[in-house]
Amino acid sequence: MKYISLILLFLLIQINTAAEEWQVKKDENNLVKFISSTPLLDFEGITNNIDGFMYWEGSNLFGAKNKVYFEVDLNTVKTGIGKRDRDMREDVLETDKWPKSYFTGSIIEYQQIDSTTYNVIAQGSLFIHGVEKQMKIPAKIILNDGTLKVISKFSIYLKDFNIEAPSLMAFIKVAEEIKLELSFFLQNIDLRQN
Amino acid sequence: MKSILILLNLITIQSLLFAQPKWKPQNKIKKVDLELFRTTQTANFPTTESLKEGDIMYEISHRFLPSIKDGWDSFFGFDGPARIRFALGYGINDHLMITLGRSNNTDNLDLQIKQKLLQIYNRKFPLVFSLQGGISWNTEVPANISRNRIDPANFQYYLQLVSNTSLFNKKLGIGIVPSLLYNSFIYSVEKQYSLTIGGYFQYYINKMWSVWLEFNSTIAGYRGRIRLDEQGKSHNSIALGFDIETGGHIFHIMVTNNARLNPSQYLVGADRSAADDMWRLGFGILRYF
Repeated sequence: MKYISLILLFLLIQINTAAEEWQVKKDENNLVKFISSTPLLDFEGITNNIDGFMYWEGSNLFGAKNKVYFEVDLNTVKTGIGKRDRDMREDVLETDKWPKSYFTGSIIEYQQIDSTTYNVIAQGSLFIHGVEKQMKIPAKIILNDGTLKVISKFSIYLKDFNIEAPSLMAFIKVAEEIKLELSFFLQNIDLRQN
Repeated sequence: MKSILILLNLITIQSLLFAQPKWKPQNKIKKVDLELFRTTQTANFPTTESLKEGDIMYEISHRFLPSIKDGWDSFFGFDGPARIRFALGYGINDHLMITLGRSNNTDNLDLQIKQKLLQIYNRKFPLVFSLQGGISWNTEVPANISRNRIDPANFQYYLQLVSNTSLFNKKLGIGIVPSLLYNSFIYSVEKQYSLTIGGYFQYYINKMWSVWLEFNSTIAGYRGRIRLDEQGKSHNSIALGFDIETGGHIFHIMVTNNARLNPSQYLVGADRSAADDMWRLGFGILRYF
């Protein structure tokens, strides 16, 4: 009986330490977009090249020891003009030195809106252009048909990442505030598989 | 008892193993094209750069005919007249572009296509090769010439192999361009050709400013006049200038002994000798959309 109790105890630990991991679904219609808006000129850059995961322990969404990590390959960002893409890569983001931008952190708050929708706040480090900045980033997460859809909108300031606003046309500079919009999908990964 | 303990240990180890994210990066960093010059062309030569798919380039170039040495009376050449070229380029894909241009010199229409051939990724000595081919149609028919506008003799053909490298962390760009031109002088009874070797050096001072030197020398074939109202032979070409890049525009400002603009005319040689102090002012503007 004593042995059986011990087994049950360990099984309970096993259940409690069960974990979930959701990884970016690469074949979905993922979108990472930045928007620069000035009184005279707006432009945006987009890529679908986002990767990463959300992970937590326990069976509840965003359970204990949760961790999020998402990265974007900056060489894939397109603004609609090849010359501008190149200028952005070489003169602004310096992607030969820092080709990726990433956010790593954890979900510190979440609120269930309805049976499938959660508002969350992730806290962690956003890395761009060789600079890490602590940020709180809001997002909406929608559970639908075995996938999680993550939607997030927030702003960054170029000077926070040691980036000088480049000129778009003579005397017109890129806005200091850059709006970021993300929309991407995650799928659950079976952690028992190697 | 022993086997139960082993089982429990296995369960615990398994749990600990599970307690780690399994994610690994699926995608490598996208390899971007080698881009050694900041423009698809210098003042007179193609570079190996290409427009990206769907992109458009617009060019306007002027070469003023009076010499700088004429001084104030011709406002150092700005009073004109001038050779003028307009051109529009389009990126068919990221490595293939097409350009249609027109020069007011014999009303020369020029259609060229440029293909990026090879990129050698070497940190210290990167190399890129492109091939440009073109056809020129001289639509002006002089009054004393009995010839239809679409006479085959009015067409010229050229091929240019472009090789680019850059040194010192993209500070210095170097280009070598051997070119072959067929039907160099459209009024010649026997078809002429010109084989030339050209080159350019461009030093990028910063993101906005650069200085450059370019030359073209005829090594075989025709190096005479290109118009009936010209006299004498053509000369090796040389141009010296600087570029200003600002907000999507690139301005070439130069002095040169060659006022010919379209490739089928430029490649024959300069219309004036640099040794005779026949330096003229010129400029070009490129805009990418």
